[in-house]
Amino acid sequence: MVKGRDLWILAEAFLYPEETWKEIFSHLFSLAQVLGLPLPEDLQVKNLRELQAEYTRLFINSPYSTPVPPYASVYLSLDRRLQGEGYEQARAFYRQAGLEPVEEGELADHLAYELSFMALLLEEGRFPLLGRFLSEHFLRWYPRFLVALEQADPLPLYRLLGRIVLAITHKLQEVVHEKAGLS
Amino acid sequence: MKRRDFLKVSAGASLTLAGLKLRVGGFFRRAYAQTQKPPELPGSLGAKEIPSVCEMCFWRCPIVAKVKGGKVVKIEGNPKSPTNGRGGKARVCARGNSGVKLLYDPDRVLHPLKRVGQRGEGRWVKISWEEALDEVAENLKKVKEKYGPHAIAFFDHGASAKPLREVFKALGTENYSNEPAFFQCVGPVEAACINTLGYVASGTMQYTDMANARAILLVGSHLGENVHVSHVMDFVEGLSRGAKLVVVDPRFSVAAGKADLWLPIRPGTDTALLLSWINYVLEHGLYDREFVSRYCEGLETLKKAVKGWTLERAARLCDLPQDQIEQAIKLLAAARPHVCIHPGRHSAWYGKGDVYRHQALLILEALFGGIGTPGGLCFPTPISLGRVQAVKEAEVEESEEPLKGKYPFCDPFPGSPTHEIIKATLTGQPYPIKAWGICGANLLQTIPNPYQTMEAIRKLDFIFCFEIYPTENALWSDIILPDTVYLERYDDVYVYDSVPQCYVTVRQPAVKPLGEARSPFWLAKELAKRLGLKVFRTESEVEILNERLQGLGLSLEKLNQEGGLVVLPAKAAYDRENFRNVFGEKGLKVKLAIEDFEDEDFSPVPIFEPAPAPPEGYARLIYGRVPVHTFSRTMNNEWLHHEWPENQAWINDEVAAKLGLKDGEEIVLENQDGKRSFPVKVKVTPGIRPDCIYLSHGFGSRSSKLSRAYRKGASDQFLITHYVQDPFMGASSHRTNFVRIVKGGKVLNLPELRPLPPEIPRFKVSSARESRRATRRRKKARKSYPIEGC
Repeated sequence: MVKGRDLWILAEAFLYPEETWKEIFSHLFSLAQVLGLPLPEDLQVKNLRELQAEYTRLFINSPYSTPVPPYASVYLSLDRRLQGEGYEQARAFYRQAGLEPVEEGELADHLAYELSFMALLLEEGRFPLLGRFLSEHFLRWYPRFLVALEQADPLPLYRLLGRIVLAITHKLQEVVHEKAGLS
Repeated sequence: MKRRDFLKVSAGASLTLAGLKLRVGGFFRRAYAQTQKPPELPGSLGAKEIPSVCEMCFWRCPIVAKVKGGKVVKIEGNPKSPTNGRGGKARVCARGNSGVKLLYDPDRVLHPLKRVGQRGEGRWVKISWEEALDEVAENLKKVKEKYGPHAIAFFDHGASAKPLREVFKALGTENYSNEPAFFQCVGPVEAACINTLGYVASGTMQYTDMANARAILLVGSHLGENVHVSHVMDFVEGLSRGAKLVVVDPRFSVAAGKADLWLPIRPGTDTALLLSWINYVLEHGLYDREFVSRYCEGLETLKKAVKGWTLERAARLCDLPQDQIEQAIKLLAAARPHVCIHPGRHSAWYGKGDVYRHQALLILEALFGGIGTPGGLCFPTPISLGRVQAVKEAEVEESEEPLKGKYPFCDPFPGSPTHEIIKATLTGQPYPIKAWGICGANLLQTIPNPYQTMEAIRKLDFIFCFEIYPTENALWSDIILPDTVYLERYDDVYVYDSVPQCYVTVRQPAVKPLGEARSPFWLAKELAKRLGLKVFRTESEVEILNERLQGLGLSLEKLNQEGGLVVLPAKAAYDRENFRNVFGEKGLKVKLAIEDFEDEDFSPVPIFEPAPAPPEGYARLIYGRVPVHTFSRTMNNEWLHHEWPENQAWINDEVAAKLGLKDGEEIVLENQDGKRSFPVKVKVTPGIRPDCIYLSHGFGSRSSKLSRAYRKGASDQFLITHYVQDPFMGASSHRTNFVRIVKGGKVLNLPELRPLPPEIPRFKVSSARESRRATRRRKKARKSYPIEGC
């Protein structure tokens, strides 16, 4: 069974790493085990700085380009842009849920926002909306994000994080179907 | 941390997590108000219109940004603009349209970053603005304390740089503004204008009245290939009204395609042609006697100096048919005084002789009486903006050995010649330079000999940049600060003070900055605070704009009520009597011979100093522009890349036949210092002389991370390793490099189809071989960096 807390933690893990990173990632390890995902052998991270540098390289900026922008719009708009169709789509779902994203220095279609949104829907038991968000929005871009992530040769920690999110959202879809069947 | 440790911690994970405050917890709030968005009109219909000013290039066309749902959806020309909006059709070029793609490019820098790897390696971490500003301030302070204020240099370009420049001035450095705009581009023509006419008839702006011209002369111009919208519109308007056109260019440029006469001149001999024309005009009495006697000084000196410059002599040096040279000057003279001898813009060509070439162009215009004349050169109309009290401009005290000291005509330019700064950084002479700030200028793609620039960067204690994209500058920086795109910020008040009508407009934000990008004003203000400098007396950019607009009885609010742009008459355009020169003197005075030049041991009148010709087997590398790109800034813009993805190497058809080269074949270019380009396709054409090879500028990116532009064509910039500095003001030459062809790994020497007259020396390659060896040595000693070939 997927819990809201798992999604909150995944969302947090996709933000810029802070001092709490060890707790966050250790929780992810147990989550990976629950999901039956194999743990990579080499999970060594020297220190927070190393993790921050890797996060920056993957999701913020590398020289000239960002290999894996964590924004829905980059994958869902026709021309790889910020605040394009995917962004509008995410905001439309938030509106339907009666929620308003707080965008302070970040965009509302950031992966962390979308995972938090799913956590909220799950906790409030809004399964039909969650189901639509997954099939009509999230799972239309996330697999492409994951391909980009794997291609960017990330630290194993981030590779694992990426795979956990895919696995858990598939599980979440099953939950949604189940609930729909019951109702 | 090892996997085992992770598992250990995970046992108590849920407990620990209970005490963690997650940042994501605050990402959403309940929206009690409207939850349904009203249906939207399609496209840009129903959009809010924000008037502003474009910055996809530096021509500053007035625009209207169409904003829907807090986003820019389309950009159009401002229909109120008398320049790009005339005839009821508001225009922006392809680049202007593509501003949307710059604004929403996911490759933008959106957070402050700090270097964690080696300098040049491109490994960063995100830091807070607080930390970033503290780092910059701390490092600048340290350098200033240890080496003095002049050890800090600021390289800048564009409007973003202005507030930050004030901070550098207040720090006390004489190297506060080293714009590539002057020292790589317009410097020589500006120096010629100031000293000949007393005003900058051509610099960033050209006061050319081509729309009313009956004849136009263009020497080495990429007008129409470099699209400055209103300038091109003036040119086309003049031609459509029947103006005759003479184009002097070794290449059959777009402008040459419109010409009545195209003179494919031997590069480096333009001044010889101009001197022969001046002599012809004087000898045949084809000049405007009244204008010359009333407004010009130094006619006799000029006459004496050009004596002996026969058309026959020019024909031989310039490799042009004498009858065509004569036909051209007759055609131009017949249209006097309504003839536009275009003074040129990018003029840092050969180093030596650049100022003389532009001086000669201005003299020819003066002889035709074309200054302050419809169809010739016009004057700026003074537009008095209010004094800004909210910014305190610092007076900078020069160093004991100012870097511009060697260049007697460099004074009107802010800052110091770029290469003097680079050399001082490298050698510590005449004083050390240890910190660089960069804003809006990609140094490695702009300044001749990027290899030297990189060596200089290695010597620095600290380097930071304020950037929109993580370009080569960012790659080499210790701190990167995210700049706003022009659609997200206020800048200065923009005044257009020429024909057909003047206007005042303003750049203002259409949308909020993305991510953590911050406006230049905010950055400058915060940095000044940390440095303890009292520069800005206001927290608001609007207050500064209002102070400026007050001079015209306007405010930002009033201006916006008028569509963001107010038109004013160009009343001074042809008013010679009330003209005031840059020295404050009233009335037009044209110096056909310049005493100030003589005082500094230069010639008072233009002289011909031939630029060394290609060594045997080589052709001169010449370059130009394509209409959909700006410098090297836009090659990765998706829309613009789609329109023009790569450049071609133009090679003369006879040369190609002799070498067995076919159109579309791939070659590599190798310069006199052994530097090689990426593969580039050949364009075989009779539209270029056999002693030149042409590349359009900005292509052939060397960074594998620039996904679209990488390896697309060849970079002229990375073949420009040899430069000569102009002795008047210190600009660095760009047309002093030579290339040969490498095909299938084999070096092909170019045949010399146009024999060289003995008066023109050849460039010597011997020293170049040594430098090649030095490069190899350097390469061996160095680690590889993300920019290939560096």
